[in-house]
Amino acid sequence: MIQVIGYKRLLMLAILFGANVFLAGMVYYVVMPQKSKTDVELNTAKAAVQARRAEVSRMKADYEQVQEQKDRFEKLRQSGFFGKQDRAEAKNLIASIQSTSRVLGATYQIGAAALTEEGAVAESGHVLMSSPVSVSISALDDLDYYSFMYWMEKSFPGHVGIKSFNLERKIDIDDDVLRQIGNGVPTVLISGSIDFSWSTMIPKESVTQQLGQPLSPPKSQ
Amino acid sequence: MSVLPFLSSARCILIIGDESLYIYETGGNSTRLIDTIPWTTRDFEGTVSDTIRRECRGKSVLVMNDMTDQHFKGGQRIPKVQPLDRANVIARRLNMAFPNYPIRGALQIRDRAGKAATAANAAGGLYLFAAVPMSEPVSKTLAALKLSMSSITGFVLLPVEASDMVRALADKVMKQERTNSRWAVFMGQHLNGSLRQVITRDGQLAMTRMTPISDLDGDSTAWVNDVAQEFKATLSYLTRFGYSSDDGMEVFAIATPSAGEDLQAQIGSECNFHHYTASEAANILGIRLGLQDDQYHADALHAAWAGKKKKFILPMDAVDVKRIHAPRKAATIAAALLFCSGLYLTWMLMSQTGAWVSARGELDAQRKDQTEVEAQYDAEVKRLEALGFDVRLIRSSLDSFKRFDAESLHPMALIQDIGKAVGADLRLDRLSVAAEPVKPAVDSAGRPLPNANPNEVKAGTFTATLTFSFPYTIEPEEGIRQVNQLQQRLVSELPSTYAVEVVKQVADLSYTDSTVGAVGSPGVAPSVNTTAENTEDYKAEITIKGPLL
Repeated sequence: MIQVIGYKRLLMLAILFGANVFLAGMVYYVVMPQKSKTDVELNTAKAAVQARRAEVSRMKADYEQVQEQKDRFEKLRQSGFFGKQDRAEAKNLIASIQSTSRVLGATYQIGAAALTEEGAVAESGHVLMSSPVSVSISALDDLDYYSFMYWMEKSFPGHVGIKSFNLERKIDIDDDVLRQIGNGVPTVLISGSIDFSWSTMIPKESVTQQLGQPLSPPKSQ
Repeated sequence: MSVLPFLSSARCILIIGDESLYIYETGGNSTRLIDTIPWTTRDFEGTVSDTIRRECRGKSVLVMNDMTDQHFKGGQRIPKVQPLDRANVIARRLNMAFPNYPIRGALQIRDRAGKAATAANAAGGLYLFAAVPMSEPVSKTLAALKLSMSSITGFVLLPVEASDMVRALADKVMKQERTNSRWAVFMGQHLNGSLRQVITRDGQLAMTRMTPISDLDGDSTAWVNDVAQEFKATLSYLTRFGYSSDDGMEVFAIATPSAGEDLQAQIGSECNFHHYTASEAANILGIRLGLQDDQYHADALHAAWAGKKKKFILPMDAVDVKRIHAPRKAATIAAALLFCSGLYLTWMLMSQTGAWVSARGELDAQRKDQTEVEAQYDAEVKRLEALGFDVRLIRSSLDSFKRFDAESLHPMALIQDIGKAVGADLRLDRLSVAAEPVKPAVDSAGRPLPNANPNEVKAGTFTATLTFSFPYTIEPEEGIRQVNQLQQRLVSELPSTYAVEVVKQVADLSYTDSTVGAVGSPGVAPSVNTTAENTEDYKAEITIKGPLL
């Protein structure tokens, strides 16, 4: 067969085959992977530049608005937004709110706080701390219930975001009920519950546990 | 070396004559006789292969048999078989017809319109069988080809491949002279001195003759007499094939002008006679011979005609030729494919490399931009830090607080508006409000979509459910009226973005409640209160939906 085909033809075939293998290797194992890698790097760099540019523009705008922001920030600080959600303080506050709002009773449960780290918050060296809080309320009047909710929102440290609430009239007012109230017997006419999220921002260095994990077991009273 | 030599129009033509092998080279504008090598030459194969290698470098070789010893059997009828079996049947019939001749071929006979002969259509068709013995000249030529390492276009018979040339000449002449002849005779003297006659009927090879005559180089009178005599002999043969003078006959002779005139004087009365020099005939056929030593030999014309063909009339099937041709053709095709693949890969490599280099350049530019933007960012941070505040902390805390607000209920205003609308007369039994957070956008597969603007705060929605009760003594129509009025008041008190809907009306007795009632008896005064009565309060339910912010 070699004699029929000839050494020149075989040599030419071998050279062409070798050239093809070399070219295919260069295309599919060198250039294309490198190009894909470069494309990924390029897209990442473009996104980073775009994000940074937006950041710079925003910072320039912030510079103009910094005085106004500073005032709001000070209010946030004073409201305890940078606190560590002290459960003992919360207990005292809820007792105080119960007294102020004149609700007959409030049973609360503060769940374990979850920590999350987000872009801008992380850049400022902080993490977000959020605890679910649930309160069951017994009251004589619905106004007391609303008062309790109002003071929870206003006086609790950090941000209190009400997620849901409900109230229900338990019994109608008749002579017996009026007599009972008149005699100073605590009479529950309204009952309800409030679920809210208690959120603050704390310095990252003050966090010892892994992010996303609860801080401590839930407390209840 | 040409990439696809067997497809190239430049060829090396080997004409196997009775005394010698004639080596021609055909190209774009010329046909050149390279050498004439007698069979008796010492080391014939080496000489021929050297000549081919030296003179026809890289060109494909076409072998044309012009020997006297060619065998034809016309009118061979093939039984009707499936198309896939036809080749095997023809091969068997060829083997039976020429058992001792290894080089064989079959040509289907067609009518004047170019269709398979109608008379034989009912069966498998009529065929012309041809065969060539493996004579010493043929085997020597094939051995030389094997040595030369050239690719082989094919092995053909000169008179068969010349038949379409004769038809082309006849068609052109008949068109010019408005004649219509069924027969055409082409006469041309070859270098070996013999006169080759190719006779066609309706454009198909009908007969061929090869006879020795005197050379035109010497006495033209003798040449004219010899040719005229051979032509007359041919006519007598043709009469046996059914030739009649009414059919018309075009006769072409390759000769010098004076010899052609003399020949016309002798045989012109019996036919439409035309005489040309080899170059004149080539011009009529649209091919170019270039400079030739003489103009009265027809070999160069045959070589030029066969050299320009892409497809042959009757390629002969020869095991020895195949044994050389098939591997070389396969190698050539493989080389061509590899060459094309190499071109494609080269293009790919260049385009991908170009794109890569371009991306690298763009990446460098982006990195430069990134450095500049980072410097701007650091400068802005320093500028803001110089103010004495941690601006990132200020901004992130304010943003976080804003986002928490957008995800929470702000119930005081809502409660106030509901209180105004309800008033003192209606009895609100139950109020329930729940926030619904914003659902993240997802694609069709349920994967979360990236937020186009991460700083944008999207507010969720809430649903408030108000449950009222009415005393059972109230007329349902009155209860419905009061609920409808309450809905109207809620709509007017609440922001326009809120939706207020009565989901349960007073008289809408739901199947979830127990229902008690009675109807009066004839003769008894109807009394609603004394027979049976519904002592359950009526219930109504209204929902309010709206955005959290």
